Amino acid sequence: MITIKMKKDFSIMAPQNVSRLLGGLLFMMATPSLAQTPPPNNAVVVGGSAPALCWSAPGANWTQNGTSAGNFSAGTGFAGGATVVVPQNQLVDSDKRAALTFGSLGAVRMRFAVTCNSPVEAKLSAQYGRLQNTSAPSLPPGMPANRTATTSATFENYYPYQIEYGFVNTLTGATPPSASQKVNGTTGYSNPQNGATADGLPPNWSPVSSGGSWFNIKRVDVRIDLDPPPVVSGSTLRPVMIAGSYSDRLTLTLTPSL
Amino acid sequence: MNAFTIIGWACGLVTLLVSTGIQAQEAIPNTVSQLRVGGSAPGVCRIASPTTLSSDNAVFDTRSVNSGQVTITQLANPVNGIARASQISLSFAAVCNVAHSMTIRSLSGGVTRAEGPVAGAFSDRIDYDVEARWAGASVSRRYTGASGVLVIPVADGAAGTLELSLQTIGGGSPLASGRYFEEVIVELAAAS
Repeated sequence: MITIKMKKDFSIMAPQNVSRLLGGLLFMMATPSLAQTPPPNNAVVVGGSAPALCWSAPGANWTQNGTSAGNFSAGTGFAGGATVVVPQNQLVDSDKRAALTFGSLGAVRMRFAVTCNSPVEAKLSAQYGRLQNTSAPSLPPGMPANRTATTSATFENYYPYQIEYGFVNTLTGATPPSASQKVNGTTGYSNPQNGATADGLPPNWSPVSSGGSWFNIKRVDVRIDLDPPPVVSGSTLRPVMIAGSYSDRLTLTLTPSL
Repeated sequence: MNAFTIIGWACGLVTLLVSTGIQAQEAIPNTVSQLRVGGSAPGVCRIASPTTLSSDNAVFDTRSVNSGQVTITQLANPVNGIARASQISLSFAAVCNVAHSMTIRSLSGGVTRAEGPVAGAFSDRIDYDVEARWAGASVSRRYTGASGVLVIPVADGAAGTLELSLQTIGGGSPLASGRYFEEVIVELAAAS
């Protein structure tokens, strides 16, 4: 009876025992393998982002770059901009006709030193794209412009200009080949708009890139060449400049190009 | 051999058999079956996800059971691009039931620009200090570009709080724009 009982118990308990034994074996086998797995660790990733920035030295202002036509004065800081006033006697002669001839006035040159920690694009935009007589934005009636008439008494209310701007590396003095771009009017002075679009709207000048991998302190140079007002083809008479204040407002925007 | 002799032998044989049989049945209780119950407690270490003890210009987020991320809120001064200092102290609940070692590993040796190094006037790495405290001992080091490990050997088991302090260094050259990363691994390894 004892033997039979044992067999019976064994047969009944066997599945459970085997199961438990297997579980135990698995556990026991798993223990050494646990020791072989990498030890527990906790990885901490530390990080952040440095934004693309441009900044200038404290107190930095626009400066005149060498000899500049007109009287140069700078505002405070980058946003302060700069103002160049061309004397009236350089703009018109005693007959109030445009006094400028090609190259007679020279260029207005200004610059601003900036530091950017990423490649950037510089873009100049203008309110008018020409020196506009803000007192007489439209020609008064009876004052035909040389743009539309061939009479001797022609009038004009703006001066065109060409513009060139780009980046200069102030550390090396080198100008990256792609970082200086002459914008608009590079083929000469035959274009009567010469800055402004045909309908007198502000120009949309192309941005200038500082270069994709060019990290350094940079200087933005702006050069403006004032042109004589256009003369009707076949005529040598310069227009009479309508009295008033001639000006334009330029805005330089630096944008990260990453 | 007479009949009485044969009967006597038979009786003697039966007596011997009976007595032998009795002796065999009496030996069963002396056969003991022993069941031994036992197992091994392996040497193991465990680290829980950390919690923030203190922070300045840094925030910790748990990313998984065994990883987290410290985000430096303002890595660079928005005016001049120069690195701003940050600090964070993390607390890990940890236990080891055997002699072990605590190891801090830096993968990059600095909080390094993910987009790659840059040349010139800008910096592409932020140095940082690490200090770890565990089982009554502490180790510290400043990482300035070279990766490396910090180790605290512990001769016995230990349970408690593992403190890790990370402090990025401010100042220096302006940072090149980009994303900056470092991976710090806290490891508890049971002695073999």
